[in-house]
Amino acid sequence: MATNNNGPLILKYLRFKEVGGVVSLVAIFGIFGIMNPQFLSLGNLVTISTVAAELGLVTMGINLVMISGEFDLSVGSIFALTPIIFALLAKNGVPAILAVIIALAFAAGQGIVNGVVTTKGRIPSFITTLGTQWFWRGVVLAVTGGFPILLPSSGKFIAEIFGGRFGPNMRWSSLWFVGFTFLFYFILDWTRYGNWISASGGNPSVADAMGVESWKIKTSTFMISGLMAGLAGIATFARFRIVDPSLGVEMELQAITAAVIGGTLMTGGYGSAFGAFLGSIILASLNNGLILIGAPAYWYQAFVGIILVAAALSNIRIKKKLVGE
Amino acid sequence: MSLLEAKGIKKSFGAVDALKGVDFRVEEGEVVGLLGDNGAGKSTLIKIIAGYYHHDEGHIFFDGKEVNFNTPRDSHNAGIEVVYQDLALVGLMPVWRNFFLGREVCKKVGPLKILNKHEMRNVSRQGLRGLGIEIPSVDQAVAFLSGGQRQTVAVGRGVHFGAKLLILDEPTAAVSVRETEAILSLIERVSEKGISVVLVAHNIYHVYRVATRFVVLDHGEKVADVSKDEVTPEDLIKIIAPPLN
Amino acid sequence: MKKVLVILLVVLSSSLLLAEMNFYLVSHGGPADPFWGIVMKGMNDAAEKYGVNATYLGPVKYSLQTFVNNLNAAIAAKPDGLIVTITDVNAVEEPLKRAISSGIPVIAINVPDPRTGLDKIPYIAYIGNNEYLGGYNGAMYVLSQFTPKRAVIAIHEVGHAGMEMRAKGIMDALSPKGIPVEKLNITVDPSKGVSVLEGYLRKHPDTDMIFTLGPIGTLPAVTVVEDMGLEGKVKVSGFDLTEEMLKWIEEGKVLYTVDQQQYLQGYLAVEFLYFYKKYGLSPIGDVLTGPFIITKDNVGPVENSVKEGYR
Repeated sequence: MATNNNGPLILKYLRFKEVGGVVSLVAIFGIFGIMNPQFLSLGNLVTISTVAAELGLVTMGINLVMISGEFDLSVGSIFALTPIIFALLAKNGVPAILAVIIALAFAAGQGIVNGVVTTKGRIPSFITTLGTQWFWRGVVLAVTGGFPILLPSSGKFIAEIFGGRFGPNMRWSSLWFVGFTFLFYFILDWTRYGNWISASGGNPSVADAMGVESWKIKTSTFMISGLMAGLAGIATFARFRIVDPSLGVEMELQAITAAVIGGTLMTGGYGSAFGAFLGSIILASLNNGLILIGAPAYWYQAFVGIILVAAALSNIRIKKKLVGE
Repeated sequence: MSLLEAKGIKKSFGAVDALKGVDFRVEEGEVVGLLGDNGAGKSTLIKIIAGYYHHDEGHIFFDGKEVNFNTPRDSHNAGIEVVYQDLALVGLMPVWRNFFLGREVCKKVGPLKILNKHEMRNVSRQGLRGLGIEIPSVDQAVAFLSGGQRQTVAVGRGVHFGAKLLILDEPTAAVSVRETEAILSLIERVSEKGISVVLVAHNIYHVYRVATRFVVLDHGEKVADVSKDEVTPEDLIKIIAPPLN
Repeated sequence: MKKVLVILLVVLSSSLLLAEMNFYLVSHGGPADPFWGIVMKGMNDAAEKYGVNATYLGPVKYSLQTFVNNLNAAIAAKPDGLIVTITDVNAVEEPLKRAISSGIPVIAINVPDPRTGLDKIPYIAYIGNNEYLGGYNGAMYVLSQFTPKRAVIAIHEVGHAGMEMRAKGIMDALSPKGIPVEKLNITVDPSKGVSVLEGYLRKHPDTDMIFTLGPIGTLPAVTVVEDMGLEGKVKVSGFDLTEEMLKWIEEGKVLYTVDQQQYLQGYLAVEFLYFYKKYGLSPIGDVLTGPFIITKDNVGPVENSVKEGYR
């Protein structure tokens, strides 16, 4: 189909965006697996999958926002506030299924607000969502008074749909994670909407000129990002059975890092669902692996910092070769 | 009846009067060279026609009707395509996705509408080939293409989707000799199909080769509107940059 | 850079392989918190003495999620023993019960499982403070010094389970003597605390004892007594150990404070796990490292241990 005489190495990246992620994942599993074979035990892999899923659901959403050329720093606060809304409603007699719908509707709705304020107000999304991050975290603290909120028994069944257990300690959140990965891949690669997302992020003026209303596209990705964060929060709620006011703090940085590891460009227009999937697993296994080899847990933060910069640099080098600037 | 008729166009940016009442006309099938030195107002005029700016005073008629373009989308829908080197295509996306951006071809699979990639690849390849444009692969990201190739893709897209007026801004700037030849002959072929072209450029000789009429702007005013048989390239140069006496 | 990473990891893992036993201490407290720094010192000192490997896992910023994830990872590492703070029973119950039934011995420190009976997490023992006794013993010390006419308990975090236990201990010590004692919410804001206490003292001028439940509460109490010129007439008690608190005790502004000797929480936990794994020995019942009452009489030696990092 295609013959090419421009830099074959770079083209390999293009055809296989996720190659960096795959290589890194194999390396991590190899290194940690040798240093502590417990790393590869079934029980541990299940543990990794649960953590990866909770982070990964958020990453899926934020990945879409980044491909459309924006940032969503508010996901961590929504991750905490959505299950809180669900719990408070369920505690006060609202049927659990209605409570979860309202909570998720809130999550999606505040995403729309993020989108409209950013696009119509012409405020950089970094700023808008930094503001909403703080605002909603403030609401979390005010509503909880600093104390954790318990999962009410009336809400258990619904919450467990998202994050309950099955089999040998596996959680439904892992399946949701895999499912959403395929869904987002499909959307990005096989629908008109996906094409418009890439265009809105790659060059919004061109997109607009060609009739794609980039502001609407971006707003929709914010909505999805909020929704995914809320969903992930409820799945996590099922596992912990309490929501602590500190839940989700700094999650947005991890999610962005996971997306960048997966090949998504910080400047927008380029990214993949499978890359985000791999990035989330990489972060989860990195944290877990460091613990298993006896490294102090705060090494994880240092490592994540290094990896974020390294991954972003390598993505930029790819972009430089692509766009030549 | 002209395809495009702009009357008395005035546009100011703060204290600067970019256009001071310009009349501009393009007939069907014409290639008009829009010339002038830097700051003459060429860029402003075509941006107004393309909908990026809105004129302060004046009227624009396209295809017989008065039009009011508020956004580039409006002019795009009316059948005007602008080919700026960086404003027509999304660099990170492949040729075929750019070709069909906003006009994607889908096929129904059950209840879902998914992209008909096969069709879009073929059509874009053939559409470009039909205009004599050879791109190594429609799967290549547009950023990989040379400046000249990018423009041909944008032109090809415009033609394929029935543009009535193409506006090219400095198409031969920063482009190799070979590609200059390719672009100029492409313009000739496009005009043979009855599509009008406005060509903004500094290189008089390039423009002279393909254009049938020349409009010269100077400091926001039209100072010449002549057909090819009335002037030579040297005459035009003298109009644009009168020798110091 | 990858090479450096690999070398680092090899060095780390070789230390893991050489050690006889591997323990993990999973806590909700961060390694940067000086309180937990002392726990870590105890843990490391015992690990060195017995030739075992002990790793401290705490979230940099308080995060229950990170704490539980760390716990799950530590359990998956199949260690020889776990030391865990039972910060929230709901969150840690399931993984810990799983770990214990798979044969990993667990010792709880700093925060116990407050339940009794079959529901309680079957850890070997709890090593740490007893909040109720912290209140009770402290109040008993006060009674040994003088008999207050009226006492008030200044609470700066209403609803906190530990605080409520301390308050209950104080009240249980004083009420048999017929001494009226009330709880007062002074909030975490010291200026608000000052005005609330002032108002109370004016309303009940016969109050001569203010119990406080932490340095955040002690500050406004000491300030009010000074401002209203009531030194000597109204006495103040404290809780927990800080440099300021020790100074106040020396200066006679605070009667006593309660220390939970967290060094021992780290040290004894490692020691008990070692003996359990090696010889099957274990303590029966909880081991209290607090309340240790610090008064003017013993503040000297306490300061030395603070200087050397054991408190």
